[in-house]
Amino acid sequence: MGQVSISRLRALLGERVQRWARRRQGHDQAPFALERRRIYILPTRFGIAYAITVFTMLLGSMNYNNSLGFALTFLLASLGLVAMHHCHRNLAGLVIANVQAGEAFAGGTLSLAVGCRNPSAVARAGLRLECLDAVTDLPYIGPAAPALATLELAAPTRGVLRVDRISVSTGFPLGLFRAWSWIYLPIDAVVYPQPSGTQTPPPSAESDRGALGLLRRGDEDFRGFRSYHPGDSPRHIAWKALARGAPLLVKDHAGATRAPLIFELDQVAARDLEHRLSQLCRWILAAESQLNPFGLLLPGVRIAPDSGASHRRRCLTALALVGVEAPRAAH
Amino acid sequence: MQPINRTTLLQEPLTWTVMSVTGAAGLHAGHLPPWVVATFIVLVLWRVLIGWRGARLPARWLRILVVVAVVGGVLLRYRTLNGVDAGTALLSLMAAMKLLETRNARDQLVLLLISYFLVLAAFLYGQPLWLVPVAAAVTWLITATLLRVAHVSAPLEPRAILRLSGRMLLQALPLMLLLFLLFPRIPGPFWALPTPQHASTGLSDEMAPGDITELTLSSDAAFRVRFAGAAPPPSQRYWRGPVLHDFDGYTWRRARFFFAPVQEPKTREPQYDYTLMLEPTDNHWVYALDLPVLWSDGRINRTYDYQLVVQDRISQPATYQLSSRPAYRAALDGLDKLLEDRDTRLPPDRNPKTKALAQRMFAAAPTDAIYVQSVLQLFRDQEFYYTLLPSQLDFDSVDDFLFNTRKGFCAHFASAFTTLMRAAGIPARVVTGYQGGEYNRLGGYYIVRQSDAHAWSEVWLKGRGWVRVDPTAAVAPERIERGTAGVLGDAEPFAERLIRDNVWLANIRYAWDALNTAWRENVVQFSAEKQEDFLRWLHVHEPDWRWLGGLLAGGVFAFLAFLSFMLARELRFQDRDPVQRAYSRFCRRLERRGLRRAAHEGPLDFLARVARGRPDLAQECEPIAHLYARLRYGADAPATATQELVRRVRAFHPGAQAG
Repeated sequence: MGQVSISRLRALLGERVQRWARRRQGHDQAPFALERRRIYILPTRFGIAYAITVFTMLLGSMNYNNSLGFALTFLLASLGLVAMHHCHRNLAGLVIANVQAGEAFAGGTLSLAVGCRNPSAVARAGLRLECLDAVTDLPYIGPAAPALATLELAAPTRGVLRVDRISVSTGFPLGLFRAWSWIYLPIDAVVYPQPSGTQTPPPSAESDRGALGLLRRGDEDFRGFRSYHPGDSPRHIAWKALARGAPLLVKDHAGATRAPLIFELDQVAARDLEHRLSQLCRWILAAESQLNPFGLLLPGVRIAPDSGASHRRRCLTALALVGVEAPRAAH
Repeated sequence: MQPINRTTLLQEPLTWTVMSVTGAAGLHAGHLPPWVVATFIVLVLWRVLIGWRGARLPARWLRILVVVAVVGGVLLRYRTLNGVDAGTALLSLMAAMKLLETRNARDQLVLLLISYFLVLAAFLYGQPLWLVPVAAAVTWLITATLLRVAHVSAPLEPRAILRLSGRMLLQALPLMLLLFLLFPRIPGPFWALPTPQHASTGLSDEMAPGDITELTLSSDAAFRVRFAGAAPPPSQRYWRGPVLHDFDGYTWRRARFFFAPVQEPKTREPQYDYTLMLEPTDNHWVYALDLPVLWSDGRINRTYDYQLVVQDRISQPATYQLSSRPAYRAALDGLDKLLEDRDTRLPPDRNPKTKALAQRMFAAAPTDAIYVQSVLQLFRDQEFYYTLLPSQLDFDSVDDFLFNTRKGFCAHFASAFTTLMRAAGIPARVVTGYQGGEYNRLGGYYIVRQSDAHAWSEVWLKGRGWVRVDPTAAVAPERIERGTAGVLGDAEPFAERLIRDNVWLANIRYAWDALNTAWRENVVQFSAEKQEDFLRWLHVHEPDWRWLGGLLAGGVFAFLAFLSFMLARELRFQDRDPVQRAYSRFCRRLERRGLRRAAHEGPLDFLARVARGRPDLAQECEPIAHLYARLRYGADAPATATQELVRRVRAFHPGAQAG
């Protein structure tokens, strides 16, 4: 019972501290440097054990009136304080350059890439990033060097994964103290539905034309060039032509002109919304991998057929947000 | 980043830890019993082998068995687990045991705390100067290991670890010094714990013929003396130790459980005031110049036979303030009956020839004093030799010495003389102690070595009281004037002779001794009084806890502020180029006022922006920006331009925006 109430008390206290720190700091805008006033520091468990040891040594020195014992005791006590300053400094001034959320499907992980920069003449070591239940250690960062670490957050459900707070902490150099700073970069990462389902995709909207088989000989049939539109796959850009000085052109393939697929919720024979979305997600991924243009019709959302990475992302995001409150800022 | 090899992840920090624990326990190698040292080595080697071979740690039951054996062994040896000796043995062995079950960082951290403790325990056995660099190296190693173990995931290079931990220790030194000087010293002890056991050195409380000879070969210091004024002449430097009353025909002993009333001696000037720095003897007595009249320490007592004794065994170097007066008359008014009886007693059936000789000579002497002189004359005139290598004496030692071997050391002469006195009914006793002392002019004090150990006699004469008679002086006056070295000859150890004959070596030894003595007086024995002296030196005349507390708190804050400043300074890139340094400073000062130079902005663009934002600063900034641009990009900057830039930047202190 006591255990429970103590842990609850700690959680309660932690929450209050959180709110206080958050009010104090406000939101961050990358890039920014960790200034001194937002770096917190407390002794670790080992730090407390060290302090108890030093205190015992003090008692021993006093009891035996031993001068060198006093000297050693005071040296270790001072060392603890020096370590505290080193620990604090290890974090001070570190620049958080950017935080970027990657793609995530429900049930998988969301990669949160945190880019840091050490603007100072002293190397940083032993830095750790924590966010929700993910932990990762930053590599040794030399003077004026950048570093990148990725946090793998669990993304169990479709929708928006709100990453409110990332903590950067360090126990360097002696592990007696832990200094940390909270980064409040509100990120609403979109978690796509888990791709699943075994139903075949609906036939193309103009299947009669497709049935002629005229244009269905192969995906890689080159038909000619057209001008670049944003969202075209970089794989299709005519780099050689560009190198010769031509304008930005895109190689148009026969397959690319295949009749677009239109995906709708009603096409999926499943009662459950999540299952339907999962099936749509799989279809979209399949269509995209076959370079087949596709469009999406959802309640309140209509996305015209197209192809390319940005189109795919738009469609998957629309799937993710079905029935979900719109995120504050999409990254 | 390179993935870290799993084995190195486990092995490398452990190597550091093994070295730290071994280093800390190694400080105790000299005073731990051999079986403890051997067990420690075996346990550590066991762990190292396990690490090398990648084998499994020993099973739980085996570890428990070893722990039981170790604790049992310590209990058997010391009869306790308490106190410094047993505690150190147990701590060392437990640390080695802990290594055997060490898998993770946490176990290693515990071991490192134990190691720090072992370093402290080493100081309880003595605080000589040479121990300081050794202990400092071990402390450094432990701290480096702490740095290594605390960061298993992203380790630094071993050299970087050593450098950083060394730097941190150096940074901790000023605060350590401050705490050392100002932390209130409360005289202990609070708990009476057994102190380390030493083998007793120096004189013992009994004397058989040949006992003192062993001491004379040792050049170890017995004690050091610093006189407040002039020192007494060599012939008066008798340092009084145990007084021996009981004689069994061969061995002299102290009279235990015997107390006589103390008779205050009548003394005359001159009085010598001095500081006695005694090496640990593990005995109760304090050697004082004959005859001690004042002593500062409340724990000291003067016995009825004028020996200074302390209650507790002297197991640590001790310092006493004493005063002595060599001119004294003790027990003038007559001797206590019990004491007289004791000091004239001889074993009835021993040394018959000596007794007969005493009777003959005493009958021929008109007074006791003349009898004393005639005995000394006997030693002087007949073929008696003072030698360090006397032959083994018979059961009736005095008979054998006087009528047979005639070669002896101070103990033989004192014993024979005292026996001759007692045989004539004159109260007499043997006094042991030291005679002489060697002046260390580099340190300004006298060193009395074990080789100065001596024995003489005291006789009680009517009307004169106790009189010191040194029969050795009759045979070998040079012993008294020049010390043992004067009579040693070839018996002197080779190293001693080498040092004595070589002025350089002798001076080096004096310097080292003086350094150690200064170390001991000022650091090892830094006490509440020394602290008060120090505060007085700081012009704090009536120091009390508020002063100490205030100074201490102020000092700690000042130190932390300074450290914080220095550490933050290191973060900044230091420009070696004075032009760049000056310009960076200029930009920093503007930045503090909200004008931050963008990375792409040249000096003139920046100037234009500053002039727009803060027209009041434009006039000051203009020459700086132009000078910098000219020095950096121009072809023909005058030689004085750099100086001018530096000067102008130094004088540039932009204030907050007016209004």
